[in-house]
Amino acid sequence: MSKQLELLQGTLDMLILKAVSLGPLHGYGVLLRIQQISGGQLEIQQGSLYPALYRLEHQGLITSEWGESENNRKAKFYRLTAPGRKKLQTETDNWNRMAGVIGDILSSKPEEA
Amino acid sequence: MSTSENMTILARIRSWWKALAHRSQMESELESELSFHVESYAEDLVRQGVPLKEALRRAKIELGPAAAQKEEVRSSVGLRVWDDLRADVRYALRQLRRTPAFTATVLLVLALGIGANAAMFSVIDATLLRWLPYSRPGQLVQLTTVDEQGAPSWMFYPDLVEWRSQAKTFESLAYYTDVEAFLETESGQQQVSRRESERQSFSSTGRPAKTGAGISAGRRNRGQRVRGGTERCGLAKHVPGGSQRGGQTGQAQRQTLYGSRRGATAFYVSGQ
Repeated sequence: MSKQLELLQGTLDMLILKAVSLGPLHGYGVLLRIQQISGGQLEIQQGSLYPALYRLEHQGLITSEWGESENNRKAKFYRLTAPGRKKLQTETDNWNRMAGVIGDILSSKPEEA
Repeated sequence: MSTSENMTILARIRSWWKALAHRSQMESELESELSFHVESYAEDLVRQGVPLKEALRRAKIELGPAAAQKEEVRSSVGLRVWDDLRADVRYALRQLRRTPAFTATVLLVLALGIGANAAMFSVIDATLLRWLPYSRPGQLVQLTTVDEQGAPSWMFYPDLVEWRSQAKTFESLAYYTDVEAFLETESGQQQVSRRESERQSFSSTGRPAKTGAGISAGRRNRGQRVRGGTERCGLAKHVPGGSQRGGQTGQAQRQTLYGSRRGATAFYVSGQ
């Protein structure tokens, strides 16, 4: 298995929004979902997960409620809000544009410069 | 501002207030979440063959200390600034209690500084900022006459009567004059400051006289000696110890008022 990539700074919030957009998740579930989608290629610092979740909830982009986990334990589940969905769309568009531009720059050849 | 932005602002306020007013509940919920996270992760590690004790240890290490998590979360919801401010204030209060002489000096300096500023502002507010307490104060002007050298000079009532008959620019005009006088009573004399004002000045400014009666045109030009007496005219501006004889303002009954005019001024209400 290839070495895990470190998450780029400022992208954790976007990934959390994407993860909870697929369905309500508790904190640990968010971590698992991102790792699952990335195929285990992303290394997420677990210590930064909960501050990010509380920050996003504070910004009104996600909301939370207590429920029961898959192993019948009390857990806090997060879901996306309408402003969060809008923010995710904006962030996704920006990311795609930026990735395209950076990709074009990096793939340019000497004669194109 | 869009609905979405309004919602996020409301959410921030609600979240901040919840974190501030129910801090222990928020921290308790965070502890529960962290416990759930550690246990779930440890269970996954156990399923991969890691012994339970080692799995719990690794899970706790990867998540980090709970105290650090709480600190990060507090910062995330904007409580860090509030906490720092509260800690600074408490520290400052402890320091002040420990050094009473310094505290007293600081309080004295602050009191003097604030008092001086408040007094200065009151003067500026009353003289420069606040409108005069008359109707249409923006149209009220005060005129004085000047001599050939440009120094303020006397204005005489007949001049005013003449101007009044010819003036077309102004809606109305009225006359008042300040008088320095002595109030002679059975117990002696007292210096008083007195203002005489035409009845018309009250109608011009839209403010009725609170006490006394305006001076009618017939009482003009009676010379330098002003007798208040029982004639009930004029308004006292200031009577030393006036609070003890408030009922006498402008209406001295058994006392005699002597005085001389200090100057005369006319003011106009512009009709334009």
